[in-house]
Amino acid sequence: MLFSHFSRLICFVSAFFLLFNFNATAQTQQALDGTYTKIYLAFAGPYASSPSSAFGHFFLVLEPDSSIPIHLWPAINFTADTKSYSSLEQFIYGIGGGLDGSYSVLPFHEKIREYANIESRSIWLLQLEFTPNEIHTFTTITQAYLDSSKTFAYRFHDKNCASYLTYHLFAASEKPITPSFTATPRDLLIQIIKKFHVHTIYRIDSIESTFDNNFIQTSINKNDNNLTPNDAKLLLPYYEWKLNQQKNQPSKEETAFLNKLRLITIEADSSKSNELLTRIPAKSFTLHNESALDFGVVNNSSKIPLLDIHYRFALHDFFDFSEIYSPNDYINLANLNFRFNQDSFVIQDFWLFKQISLSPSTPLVKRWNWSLGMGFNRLPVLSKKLSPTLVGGIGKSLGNTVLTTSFMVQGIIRYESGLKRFFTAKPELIQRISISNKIKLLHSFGYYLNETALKNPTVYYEYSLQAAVQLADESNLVLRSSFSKTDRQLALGLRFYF
Amino acid sequence: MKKQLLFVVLGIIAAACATITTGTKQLVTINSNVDGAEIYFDGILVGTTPFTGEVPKSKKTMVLKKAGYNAYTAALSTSLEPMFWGNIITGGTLGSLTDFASGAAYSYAPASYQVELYPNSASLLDFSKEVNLRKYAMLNMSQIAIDLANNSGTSLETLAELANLELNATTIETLKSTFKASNGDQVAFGNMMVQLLNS
Repeated sequence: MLFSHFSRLICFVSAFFLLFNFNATAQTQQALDGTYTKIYLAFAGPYASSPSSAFGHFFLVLEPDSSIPIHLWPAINFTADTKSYSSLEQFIYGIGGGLDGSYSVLPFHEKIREYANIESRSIWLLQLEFTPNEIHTFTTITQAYLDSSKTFAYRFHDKNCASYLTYHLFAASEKPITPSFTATPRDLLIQIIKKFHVHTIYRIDSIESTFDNNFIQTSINKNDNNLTPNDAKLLLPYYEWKLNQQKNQPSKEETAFLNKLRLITIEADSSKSNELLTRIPAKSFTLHNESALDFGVVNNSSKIPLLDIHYRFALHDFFDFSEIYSPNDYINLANLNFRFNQDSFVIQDFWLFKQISLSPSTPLVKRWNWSLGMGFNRLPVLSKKLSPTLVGGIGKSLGNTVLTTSFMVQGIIRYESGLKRFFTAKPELIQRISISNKIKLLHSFGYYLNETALKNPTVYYEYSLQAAVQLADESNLVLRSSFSKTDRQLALGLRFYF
Repeated sequence: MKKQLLFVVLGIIAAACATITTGTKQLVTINSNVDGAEIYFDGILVGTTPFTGEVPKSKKTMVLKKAGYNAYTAALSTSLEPMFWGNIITGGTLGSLTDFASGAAYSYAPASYQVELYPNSASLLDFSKEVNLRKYAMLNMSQIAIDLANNSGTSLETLAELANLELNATTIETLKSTFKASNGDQVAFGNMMVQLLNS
C-alpha cells in the first residue's frame, strides 16, 4: 500500500517535471558595442518534445549598421540559471520563485543552431519600429545590465525571458506595458505586435521543413560510391541532423560517412544559395490568445439541452488555428468543462494538463506519438463519476498535411471513492482532415477496456466527430459530438480567445 | 498495479523524448585547442586530450590543466537538460567573453566536446577571436560545405569575416583547399581555420 502511494506520488511529480523544465544553456557572450539600425523580436516556436518549451522562447536580435553577416548579429537572451539545482529544486523554485536568471548576448548563429537546426523549430523575426534613439537607449540599458553581471529573480509564469526583455523594450520606447498574472512569450508577443505596429516579419525555417524527403530517400538507398556531389549536398543537412538527435556519440562509421558527405558536397554544382530569411506577409503570422472560452449547447440524454462551457487557461488544441503551433501537437493547461441547465450542474472534466502529440512519421523521420494527462475526469462510459485521473499513451501516425491517421493506446488510471483504483485501456483510431486553412475535421473510434474485461468481456466503444471552422482571428465555430453504446452527445458552440 | 504503473511511466518516458539518457556511463570525446591537456573528473586524472573514453555520469566536475594555460573547470549537471551528459546539442559555451580567461567549452556533436584553454601569455582579444572562429567553423561545417559548393552564402560570409578574410574567388579557393585538407573532420577544420587566421 505504501509502495502504491509512493509510486503515485512519483508519477505526479515526474509529470510536473516534464511540464516545467528550464533551458539552462550558457553560451558565448559578446558586448553590444556597435551601432544598430534595427531591432527584431525573435520568437522560437513551441517545441513539443519538451513540454516546458511549449510556450516558445523569446529573444531579441539587433541588426548592425555595418555589413556584418546575419550569423554574427547579437542576440539578447534571458535564461534561468539551473545548473546548481536538482530537478526537484528546479520545479519548486521555478514555480514558486527562488531561481536566478541572467542576461547574455550571443552571436545569432548559436540560437539558429539551437532552435532551427537541432530542435527543428521555426524562428520568426518581427521588426520593431524603433527610432535610432530608441535603439540606442535600448542597447545602453541592456549593456548596463550585462556589465553589472547581476542576476534577477526568475519565476516560470511571470519573471521569464519574455517579461524581462519586454520591459527593456518598453523602457526604451516609453510605451506602456500592461502587467498581467502571466507573461508568456506569446502573451507579450501579441501586446508587442499591437503596440509596435509590426509590418515586417521574417521566418527562419526549421531544418525538417527544408528536407526534400523523396530525394533524400532515393539518395540514402544508393550505394555510397554512387553518391554524386549533388546527392551529397541534399543529403548532408538531413544526415547531420539525424546524428544530432542521438543521445550517444555517432559510431566511427557514421562519423566517417558524415565527413565524406561534407567532402563530396563542396564539389557539387553551384546553385543559388538558400536565403536564410523568408519574408512572410504580416497577416499570415496568426496568433491566438492562450486562454479560450467555448460557449455551446449540448444535447444529450437529458430532456432539456445544457449550456456547455469549456474554459482553457492555455495553450493550444485541435480547435485552434495558428501558423505558429504545430498542427499535430496539442497542450492544454487548466482545462475545465462544465454543463448546466435549470435542473443540473455537472463538471464534466478538469485537466490540470493534457498533452497529445500526433506528429506523423515520414519516410525520413520515424516518430512515436504519445499522450500524457492529469486531472479529474468522467469516462463517457463505464463510470461517470468525476474522479482523479492519470492518462498516458503511445502510438504512431501516418499521413501528410491534409490527412493524418493515428493509432494510439492510452492507459487511464482513475481513483474513485476510498481511493479505489480502476484501470482502463483505450485503443483508439484517430483521423484528422484539413479541408482548408480554415476548416478541419477530426473523427476517432475507440474502445474502453476495463481491467475486469477478461472476466467480463464487455467492451465499450465511442465514436466522436469534431470539427472546427475559423470565423475570425478571435473566434472559431466548434462542433463536438460523440456517440457511444450508452450515450449520445452533440454540442455546437463558439470559441472566443482572450 | 505494477503493470499499470509501468504503462504510465512508459508514457512519461516517451513524453520525455530527448531529455533523458540512460546508463551510468557514457562514451565521450574531449578535445582541446592544445593537445596533451590533463583531464580530471572529480579530481581523478582520466587521460589527456584528445580523449575518448567512458566516464561515469555520477561525476560532478571536470577540470582540464596544462602548463602555460589557465585551468578550465566545468560543473557537470545531471538534471533533465544537462550540458554535459544530455543529448541536446546546444553549441553552448560555459562562460562569457569576460570569462574567457578561464576558458570555454562547447559541444559540437553528441557527447563530443571542445575545450578552449586560455594561454597565460596570449591577449584576451586574440584568444576570443580564435575561439569564435574555431567554434563557428566546427559547428557550421556542413553548411559551410554547401556554401562552398554554391560559392556564396551566409555561412561562407561569416567564416570569412571571422577569419579576417575578404570574400572573393581567391579566398573561396583557399577555403576549399583548407576544407579538403581537413578530410571533412570538424576538429581538424576548426584548427586549420585558426592557423589561417594567424598566418
